[in-house]
Amino acid sequence: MNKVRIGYSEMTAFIIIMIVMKIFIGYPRIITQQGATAAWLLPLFSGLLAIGLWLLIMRLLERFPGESLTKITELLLGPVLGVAVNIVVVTFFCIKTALLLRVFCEATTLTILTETPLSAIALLYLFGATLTVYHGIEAISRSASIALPYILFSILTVLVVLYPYYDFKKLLPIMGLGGWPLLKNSLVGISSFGEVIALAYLISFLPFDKRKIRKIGVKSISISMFLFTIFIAVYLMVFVYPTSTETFVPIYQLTRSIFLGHYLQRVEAFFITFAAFTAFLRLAMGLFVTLHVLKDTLKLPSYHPLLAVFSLLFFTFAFTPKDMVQSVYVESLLGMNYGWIAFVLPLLLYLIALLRKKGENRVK
Amino acid sequence: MRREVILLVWISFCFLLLPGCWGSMETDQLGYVLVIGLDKGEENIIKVTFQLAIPEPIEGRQAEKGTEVVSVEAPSIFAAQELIDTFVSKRSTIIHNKAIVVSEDIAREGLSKYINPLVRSSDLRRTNYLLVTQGKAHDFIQENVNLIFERYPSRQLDIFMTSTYMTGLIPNADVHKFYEALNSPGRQPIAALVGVEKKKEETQKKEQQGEEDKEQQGDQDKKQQDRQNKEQEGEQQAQDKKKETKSEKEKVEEAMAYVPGEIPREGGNKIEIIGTAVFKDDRLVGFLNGKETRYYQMVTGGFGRGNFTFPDPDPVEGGSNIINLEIMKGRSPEIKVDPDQEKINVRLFLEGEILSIQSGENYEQGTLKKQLEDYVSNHITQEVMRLIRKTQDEYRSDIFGFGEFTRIDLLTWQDWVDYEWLRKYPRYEVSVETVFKVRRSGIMIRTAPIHRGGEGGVRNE
Repeated sequence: MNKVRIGYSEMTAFIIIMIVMKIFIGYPRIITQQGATAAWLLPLFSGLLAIGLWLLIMRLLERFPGESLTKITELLLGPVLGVAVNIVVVTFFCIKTALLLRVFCEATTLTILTETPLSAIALLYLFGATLTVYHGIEAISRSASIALPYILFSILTVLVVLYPYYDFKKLLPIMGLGGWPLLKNSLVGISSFGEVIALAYLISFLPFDKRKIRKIGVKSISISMFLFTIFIAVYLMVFVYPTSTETFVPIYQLTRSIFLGHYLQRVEAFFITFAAFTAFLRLAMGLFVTLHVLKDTLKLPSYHPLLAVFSLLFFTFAFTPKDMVQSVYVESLLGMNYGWIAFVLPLLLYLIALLRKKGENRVK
Repeated sequence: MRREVILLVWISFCFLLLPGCWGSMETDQLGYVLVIGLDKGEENIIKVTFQLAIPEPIEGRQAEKGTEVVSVEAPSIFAAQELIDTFVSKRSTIIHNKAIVVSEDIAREGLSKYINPLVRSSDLRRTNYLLVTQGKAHDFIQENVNLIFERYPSRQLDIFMTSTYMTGLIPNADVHKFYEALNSPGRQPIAALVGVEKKKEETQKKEQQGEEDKEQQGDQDKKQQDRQNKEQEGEQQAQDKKKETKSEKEKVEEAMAYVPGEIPREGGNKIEIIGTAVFKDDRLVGFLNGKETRYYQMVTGGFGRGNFTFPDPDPVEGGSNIINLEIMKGRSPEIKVDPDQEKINVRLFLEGEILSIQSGENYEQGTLKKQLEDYVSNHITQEVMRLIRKTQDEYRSDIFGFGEFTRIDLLTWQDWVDYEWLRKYPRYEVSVETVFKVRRSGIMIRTAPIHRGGEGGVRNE
């Protein structure tokens, strides 16, 4: 067990920011591509499904009280296969966070720092993230806890001040691209909530019982689901499908659309502050989870020696895609199209635990 | 000690990053474009006109010195922007641009290829007003320099465009709405109509020229015509009397039925913003005048308020007296579109305040109030019907967005696209109902009778 302890609200804020951060990049665009006019229903269906899956995953965690998913993987798959699978997980987290770094950089270049080299922006983001990770999960989760109300306030403010555009007809036809695409994309859409699995890897930091851990997951997914749904609904009302599928950074376009008279316009600079801060936090979280899982896998006493190396690795991975379009494509492929894999591994482990009847004695 | 050293290194690194605004420019280096105009070019594809702000204090100076207008011909807007940097000692930027003015020629040719760079640009906002001028965009911008009532050029158009809600004579038209309508299977785009004041001298000159021509031709036939005129004199007098009565009523009904350049006026700004440019797909197909624009906005729900003049509802008084009402939106219109029966049903909810009753009749209360409400309702219903039919028959363009109401009847996006609303719109049957209520009567609740001493009668009781 770790000596560091994280509170309930801190960890909830941590997971919510990990999930909700997508709003600040291409998530609304991808979802409207998948769901057309019914896109606002997708997070709702996917969220409910994700809650169900999380409850199943909790059953696995309950069989091995106090053990993180890294440890459970090893216990169920054996030391060799277990370590191998955990290394795959580390690689997944690493590549995903690195691609997020690239997308954040591209978004920053396109919106505010148009002349600044991409690498300089990447260094700036990595610097903030590395510094935070250096101070550990306490620093990250407390920052998340303090920042979350402001981030939520900024998102909700954007949505409210866009009220002149509200026209609920734009959310119809209700089935979007049809019944099957709606169902299929709702299933694939659980990827949006895949970050909740980080909770299973950070369980050793949580000094409370299983009920509270379960509640953190459910609460995080529910709040994110609510935010995603209203955000997509407003986005669809402002940028009607199919134009909603064109925008690279939807929230930026939304803030640029705010026009409440001569004296209340051009307010995007205000909201960019929150977006940039969320990006710093999200990168720090990604970097921390990657290093923490690696530390647990390799049974290292500390992840700090790896910090500089992994920062460099993130930087390298981030600049692997050739251009903006490719980076956006790969990020959405990994994050949205195949992000559901995050749920598959613990569910497979649960199945193995059930079949091999492992962990039952611990519960008893 | 070690911690302090590390901290110092981090802070130094931060300072290295802080001046990292590679694109930083001083404000006095920039030339802020306020209005962009697009005309067909003679030497290149388009002629782009920029109204640039001169970033100096305007206080104590003439307002027209606040901006400079430059034009350049180029293959595209951005190429033109680069070119003006060769003869304007500022780095031009469109981040503060307010409006895009498009000439009629370009609008009739198709706007989509010009809209595309506007919606893609990270500098230009989609909240930019989209204006179509019947003449040249360059001429409009040139006249826009003469600010009379506004010191700040950037505010001039903002204030003009508030007329959308205050008078209803111009639509709320911006690049965003145009682009959204262009991509929707359920509506067609519009833009605000702008123009330049036509000088009275020019009009008079043209009229005089016409009269002179007529005189030269007419001298020979004058005697013969005089004879014929005398024969028909009695008949004509009777007809003229009728015409005079009708034309006065028409004048009242046609109040606000102007497009830019037609307003009979003297003084003020040289630009006029009144009316709507109607598009079918991305091509301009016609115009709505100020009056029609108001009715258009009543149907779309964009109408806020406006002063209306009607002939007096009384058949006797209607010939010579008028009633002024301030009409406001009561609530959003109710629109039902039935794809099975191909019917559109529009219900408008309006409220009004009496501003003037020339006849002195007590329309403020009782049966007369009901009579006034019915009269105004019928009048608006007929005008709205006429306008909708005009868009169906003449323009074949659903600028009202009735097609958006068919979304609810269809299950999937593809069903909606396949329904081909825009093709079917002209054949839809339309019915309009107006619910108008007089809510206030100014600061009077009735009109006292006027005693006409000489004639010994009380006129209105």
